Amino acid sequence: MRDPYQVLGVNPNATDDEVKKAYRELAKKYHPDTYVGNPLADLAAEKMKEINEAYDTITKQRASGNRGGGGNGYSGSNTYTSNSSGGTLYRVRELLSANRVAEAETILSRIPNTERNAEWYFLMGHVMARKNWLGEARKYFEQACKMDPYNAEYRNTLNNMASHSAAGGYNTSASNDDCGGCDLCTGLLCANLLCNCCR
Amino acid sequence: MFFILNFVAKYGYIWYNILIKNGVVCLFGYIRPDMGELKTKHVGLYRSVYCGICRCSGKHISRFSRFLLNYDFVFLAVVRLALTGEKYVIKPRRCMANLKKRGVMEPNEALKFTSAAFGALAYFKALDDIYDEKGFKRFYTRAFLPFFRRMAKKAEKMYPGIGDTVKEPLGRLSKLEKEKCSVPDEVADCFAVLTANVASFGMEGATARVAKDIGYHIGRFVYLADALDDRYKDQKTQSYNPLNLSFGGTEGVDQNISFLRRTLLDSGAAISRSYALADGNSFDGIIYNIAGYGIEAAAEKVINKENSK
Repeated sequence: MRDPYQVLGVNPNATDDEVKKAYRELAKKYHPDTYVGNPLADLAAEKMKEINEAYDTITKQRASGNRGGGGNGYSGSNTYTSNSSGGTLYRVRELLSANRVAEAETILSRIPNTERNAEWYFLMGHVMARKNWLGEARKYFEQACKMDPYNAEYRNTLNNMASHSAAGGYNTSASNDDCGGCDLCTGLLCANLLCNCCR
Repeated sequence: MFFILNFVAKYGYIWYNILIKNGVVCLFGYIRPDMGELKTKHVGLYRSVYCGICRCSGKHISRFSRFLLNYDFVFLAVVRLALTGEKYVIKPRRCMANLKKRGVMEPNEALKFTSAAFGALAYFKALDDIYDEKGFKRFYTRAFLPFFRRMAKKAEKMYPGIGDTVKEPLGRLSKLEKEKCSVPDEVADCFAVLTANVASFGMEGATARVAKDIGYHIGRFVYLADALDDRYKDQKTQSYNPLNLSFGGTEGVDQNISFLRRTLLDSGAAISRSYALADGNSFDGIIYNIAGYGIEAAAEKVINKENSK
């Protein structure tokens, strides 16, 4: 196994908080939810497992000396939860989990138009996403969301399609110079001090 | 004839670059970084790959190929360098177009392979054009065919089997185009498979899968962006365009433009998600920049294209 500190990309002398921060960032980057429907989901899951193990090892090592932060990592939520237990769509979900995309597509396309519900559109979107046909996938996901607007699973999958959460530290849109409450207070105090001096 | 054209290729390059710098000729390619958002060290690295591939293809494939080099292939080279983790050397060099010395990447496996792939693609694309196109384009493609053939031959000699990886999806593409397929993703799939094959050529295991996925989305984006870019021209000449056909003409495309923008950006997001599985080297900044800002800029450019009379 690789050095756990190397896996998390931190220095062995890093504080507990730094380790935790690095772990959280990586966990967010490789979280199974980000890779739902992606053909490389299994690689992401492996990476996630490696990160979890590294974090567990570090926290266990440190717990013997210091007080450790709980080692409970993020768990993968990649298993599909079906609304209709049993039935054809459940079988499709099983096939998709086993990466048998072509069979899933054949089964889905056999279902007549009248019986196509939100879940059908969602699963068809998954099939298209696995084939990397993102335009078609988006159409199906949007239709699923339209038919069942309160379903968090459909909504999250659609939102994740365009997410760049993996883009490391290069996403510069988030500003770092946020003015916290303390800064604001300090600023006002200084200003007040200056005003008093001028009097 | 051959010698005259060879002479032109050797010295015409200077004039060609002067024309590019003055904005008379535009380089092809949609996938390029947003230079404003790129760190200075990454700008230098990207330029060195760009100059390196130009130099390498001139040396190993054909002088002629230097005219045709495009940004999409530079990105393929960057991805290959990043995924294989190959060592690279950058040396200051002068070239005919830039008299000031610039950092240029010395020829290495990744650059050689990308220029070879470019040579093979250029030849098979030219063969297709001769078969499909009419008029002037057909004439000059036929005139330059010996050059393309030479490029493909050299490429095949360097990397046996490269011609086949390009030929099969291109054949499928021209068949679907002839059948006037109206599902944009299905047509784009052919070109995407081609770039996926090129990107993952000679790789194995998880790296090959990541390369294949990135290559796929490069191809998908380029094909769809190109179709969107040509929507007015194709409408006017009544030529095949999958987007016009799918949405019922350019008006339909313009009505669904927000959907098309989202689906183009999805490819960028997919590239950065796939690359995240293999990141951690000096090219990260360039690749994430292209997948995020670069692709967005390219998409906006083709979306906002005006209907020229």
